[in-house]
Amino acid sequence: MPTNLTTIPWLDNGMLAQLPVRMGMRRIAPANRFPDGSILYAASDAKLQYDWTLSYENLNDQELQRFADFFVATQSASASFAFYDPLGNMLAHSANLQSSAWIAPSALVISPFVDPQVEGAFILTNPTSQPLTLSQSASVAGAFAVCFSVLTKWEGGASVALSLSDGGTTETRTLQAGAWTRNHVVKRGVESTVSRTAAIVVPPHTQLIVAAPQLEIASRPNAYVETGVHSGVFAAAWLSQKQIDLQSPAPGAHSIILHIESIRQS
Amino acid sequence: MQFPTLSSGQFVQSTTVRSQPLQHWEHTFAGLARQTQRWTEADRRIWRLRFQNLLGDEAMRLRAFFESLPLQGLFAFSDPWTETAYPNCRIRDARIEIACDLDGRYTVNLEIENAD
Repeated sequence: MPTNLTTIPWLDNGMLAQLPVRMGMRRIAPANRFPDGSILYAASDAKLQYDWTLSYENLNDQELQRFADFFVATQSASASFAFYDPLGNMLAHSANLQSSAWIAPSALVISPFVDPQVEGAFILTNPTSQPLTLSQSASVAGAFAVCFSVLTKWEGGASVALSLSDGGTTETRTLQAGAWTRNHVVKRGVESTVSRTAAIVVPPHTQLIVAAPQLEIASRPNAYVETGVHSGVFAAAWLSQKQIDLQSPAPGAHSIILHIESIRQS
Repeated sequence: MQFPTLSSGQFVQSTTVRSQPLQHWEHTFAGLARQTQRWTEADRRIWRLRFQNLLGDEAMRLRAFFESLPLQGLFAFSDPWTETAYPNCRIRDARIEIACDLDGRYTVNLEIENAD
């Protein structure tokens, strides 16, 4: 469940942002400056400050109302909301499928695999007679279109399925793995959606090499972002502006700019 | 740590600008008196990197490098003009800016300074 019930609004096409998207990152820490001019940083309290500038154009009346409601829900930018990095990966530990962030039955063997073409690959082995699933859930609320993608490989050809669930329904795509290919599945959520579960389904008696899984708000896979303990889900973000300037250059065509910030432990 | 390379195998694009600031240390004493002192390191350098038209993978490699750096983390960087290796460099102001344009191409801005 998301810790924040207010989320950034979605567009009618299921996207979060329009291009271009701008983001910045700054590493910050409390510092003491001494009389000789030297500075001592408190490394244990270092944080990464993120900021995004999202420009929306040609919003229709319904979309504009969603943003107006969102601004009210944030108490005119005083309260925080859940935000999803439009250039990020909403899976944690994307480079370590053996991490506890990933859920897998004990019968599914997950081992690092050294591949000359792709770094950080893993080989999944299902020795049982039942399909086994490697999955991870992310707190992504709202009617966004979410894309789960992963690099797959099996030179001899192997069947595999990618699935994406919003807690109510599941979208599954079955495919044949061959040479390294980024395969994906897309599912549009509904307004009441609170989380998504992305899964790789390994058929019985099958091996498969996978790497670089990514979950993002998109209609197709974008550039892969490797993640560690933190994913692209920001449970608490806030508007750094105290007003939203709604511009309407034509009837039914509105534009706004959002400036969003968040901070997380470095 | 090693600064990431682009798909071309290069570290920077031709838009890179190098500067060598002339600066002073300023000491502030307990009585708020101040004394300035010339910066004595002759090889103080800053490289202003302006990456344009990057592929997504290239931009995300730069992002991952920045996110993986510890506070005041140092890394090796080679001067693009002289290929002189500077083993103790850091991201200036600890900030990186990334933009994705309408065509899905990326712009990345950051500054590197020699911390010696």
